Amino acid sequence: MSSTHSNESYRPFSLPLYRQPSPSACAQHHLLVLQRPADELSPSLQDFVQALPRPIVLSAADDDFDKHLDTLLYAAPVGSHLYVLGDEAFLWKVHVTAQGAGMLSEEIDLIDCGPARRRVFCVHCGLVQTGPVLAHLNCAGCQVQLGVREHFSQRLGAYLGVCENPDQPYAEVHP
Amino acid sequence: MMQVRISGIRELTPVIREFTLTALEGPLPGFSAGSHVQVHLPLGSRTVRNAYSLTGDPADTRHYRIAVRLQEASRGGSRFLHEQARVGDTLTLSPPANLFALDLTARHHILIAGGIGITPFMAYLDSLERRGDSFELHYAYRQGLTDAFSDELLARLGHRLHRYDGSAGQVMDLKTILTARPMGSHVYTCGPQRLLDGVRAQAAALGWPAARVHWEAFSSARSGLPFRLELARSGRKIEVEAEQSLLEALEEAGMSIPNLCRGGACGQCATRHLQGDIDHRDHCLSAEEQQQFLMPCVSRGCGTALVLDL
Repeated sequence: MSSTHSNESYRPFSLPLYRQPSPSACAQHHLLVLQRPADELSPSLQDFVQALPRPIVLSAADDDFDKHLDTLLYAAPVGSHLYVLGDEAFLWKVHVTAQGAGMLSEEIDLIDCGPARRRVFCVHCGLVQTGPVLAHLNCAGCQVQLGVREHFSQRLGAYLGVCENPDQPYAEVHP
Repeated sequence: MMQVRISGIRELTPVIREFTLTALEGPLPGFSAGSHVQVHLPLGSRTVRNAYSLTGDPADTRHYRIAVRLQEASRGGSRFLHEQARVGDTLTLSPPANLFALDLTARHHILIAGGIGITPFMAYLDSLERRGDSFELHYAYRQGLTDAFSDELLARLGHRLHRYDGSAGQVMDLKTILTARPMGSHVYTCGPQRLLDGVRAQAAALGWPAARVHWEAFSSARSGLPFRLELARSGRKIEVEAEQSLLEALEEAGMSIPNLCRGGACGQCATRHLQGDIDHRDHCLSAEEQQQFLMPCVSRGCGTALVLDL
């Protein structure tokens, strides 16, 4: 680490930053995707949601949420703006879907307002796991014990998990 | 720099000529769709460099193709290519550069061409067809004057081509073209400044983010009045002739200024000025930036003597 950076000020470039929510001034259509019902949001976020002009609202609590999300995003015209409210893992799951539909990062607002949960990508087998914020976890796909790096991939919407100890890749004796 | 031979000339319309250029030896450098080359044109004692989009298939490195519109008000570059260039002649080119590349993440490409602004899209079409991408082309022209590729494109593109003949009063409705387009669409426009301004304004009004809107200005240096120039660091004094651009005068004086488009769009040749009245003619500097910089490829001194930080 460079001597000009103290430990506290060092922030890896790839870590996501979340803006304060505000309605897009130029968008014609406002798409709102909620992880939790709107009445469970904080008062300031409820104000934000109410300030959106004629939003199309989709809630993760609805049946067939993934299918409806695909339909909404692929049918949206250019000029739409997407707002996603939820925990970090949910935000990036929706972000990945939206990018697949052709949305640009500047057309998406992620509003982090849930318990600390994140997605981790295993660089060994490619599995993305969702869970609480932990420095280590065992990959459910290949059982390698992963150290979770402070390195975030916007394309994958996940932190990168890398084998913690190459001399002993498995936390437990592996068959 | 590279040498090419004019191996073919086609008169596409009374004012548009297409040139096929072949390397004197070996293959030509590869290029991506939307690239241009600078053609060095000997005009009397001076050399003028004009940028032309490459219209040929980017996969073909045996030939380059350019299409040149005769510019009545030009300083002679296009007139030279229309009236003096012959098959077999040798020309000097600067290697291709691209300031107008396709966005390969797009799900649909909307191409909007005005007149000779069709040229970069000719190379786009080869790339888009090869990739199997979804696209449409809107092409405004004047029948019998600037309709260089109109019939050829109709045969090739069918319903993906939308033609607007200005001489028959057909007008392109940008609002219809840009309304309710599928997510993942990108729009690209090349042609006269009022078309570019129209596309950008309409896209912004419909909520398109700037990253989905791509344009290439189609202009080169226009002549003006002669003016005098002083270089602050060396104290040299240079006279810029009426038919010469400031950039050309600096090059003639042995200065090497980075440049790509020579049309006031790419921003490469921005030079700090210290004194004097300036006629800014570029499309890339903000009003604040123009307080400090000018684009010598198109802008000129006017009035009091110009002093540059060179």
